[in-house]
Amino acid sequence: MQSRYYSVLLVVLLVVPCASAQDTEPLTSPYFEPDSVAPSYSVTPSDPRAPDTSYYYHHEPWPLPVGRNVITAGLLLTMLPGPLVEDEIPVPAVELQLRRGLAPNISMIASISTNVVSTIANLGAQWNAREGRFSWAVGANALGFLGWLSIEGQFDNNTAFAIAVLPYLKAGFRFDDFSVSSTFAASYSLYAGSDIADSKTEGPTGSWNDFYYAIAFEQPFLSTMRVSFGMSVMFSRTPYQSWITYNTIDQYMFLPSFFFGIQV
Amino acid sequence: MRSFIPVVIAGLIISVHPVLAQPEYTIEGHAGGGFGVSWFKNQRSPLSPPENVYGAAALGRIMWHPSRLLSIGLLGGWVEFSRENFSPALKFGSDTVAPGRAVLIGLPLQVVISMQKYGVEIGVGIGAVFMQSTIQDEDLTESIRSELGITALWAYNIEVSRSLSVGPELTLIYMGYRGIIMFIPQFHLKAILLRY
Repeated sequence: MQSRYYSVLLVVLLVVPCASAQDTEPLTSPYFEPDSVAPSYSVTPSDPRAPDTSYYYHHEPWPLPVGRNVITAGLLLTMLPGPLVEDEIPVPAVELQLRRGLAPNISMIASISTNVVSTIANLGAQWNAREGRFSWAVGANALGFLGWLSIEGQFDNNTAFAIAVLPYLKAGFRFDDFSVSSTFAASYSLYAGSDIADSKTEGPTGSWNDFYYAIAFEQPFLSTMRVSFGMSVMFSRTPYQSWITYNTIDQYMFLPSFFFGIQV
Repeated sequence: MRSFIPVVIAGLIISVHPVLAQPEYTIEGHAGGGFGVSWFKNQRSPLSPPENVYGAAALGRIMWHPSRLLSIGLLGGWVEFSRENFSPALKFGSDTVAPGRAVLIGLPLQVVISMQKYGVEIGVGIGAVFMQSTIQDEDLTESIRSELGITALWAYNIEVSRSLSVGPELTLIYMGYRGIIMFIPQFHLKAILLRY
């Protein structure tokens, strides 16, 4: 008889708290996060490991922290097209590029490339975003071109000048050891003119003039250096680098360029 | 003798530990050879048929590969773009042509950048190709001219030993001025000449 009391007491002691526990507040503990709060890290199913976000490149459209600068100095080799020059000559130029974080997803772009005879400067802004290892950007640059050549006695102070708007799209992917990025751009000429041997000529104005694609590989090199290299192709009617050839050919030409840069 | 033991243990830890180990820089020698096919934009010679022509190549590279993906080096070698023999039966206009041959050889000297990982190598080279053309009929006509060439290469290396790898390589040589593209599948050998 005694044992029956004990068994009833045991059932009451065990079952009642379990049944009433369902009505109580869920357990809140610092070790358990409520489901409604997303974890502070994000991992996509195709990307089990998070990419290294501690460094930035010029071509890759990875969002840049506000105030952070990425400065790249390099060399640009442009091959002048066959219709303009008898032999394909690589025209070298030095190039300096700056990317600066203006706002959380907006960076400023500035670049200048020159070989004295032709100088091309770009200034613009791009909106960047990323998801996992992918990053992309939409931007626009104002492009200014200045050509100058003076050969004493026969060819004094020849100049060429152009202003264009260059909207572009960028996409990049960051692997563990390097990143690869593509840029598609088009340029709309606002004004172009040249003054060669006392003959003033107006170039293409108010028209879509050049179409441009570039692929860039950016990666660490040696211990702390970061380098970028790649190539670009431009379809252009009036390539800026060949202004001195006095181009009268109204056809689209194919201009490949190679670039190599070091982050400073 | 006992005092060596901690030194040996420390040495083992340093050599195995990825953070403490010095990054390894290497100088690599690459050599390859194979037969390829050349495509010419313009007719090779007035007697040449329009079909693509087969050639051969032997190429070598010296690459500086400092611990990371990227390596930089120089490419050189010998490329026979075409070799054609003309029989005396061929006629050019109303003239009967003497037996002869036309050979086009290129000697590239280019700067190469390549990326290597998991035995896969992808690279590009830019620089000069010294073109030597020989046309022999009744007279011998030779010319040498340097041109700009671009080389793209893809290789896969299977490690045979710590310093030697072998594998296939596909090389593409492009010369814009003459409009020549040549594909060369090669047998490729990579040797690590120096580690430091």
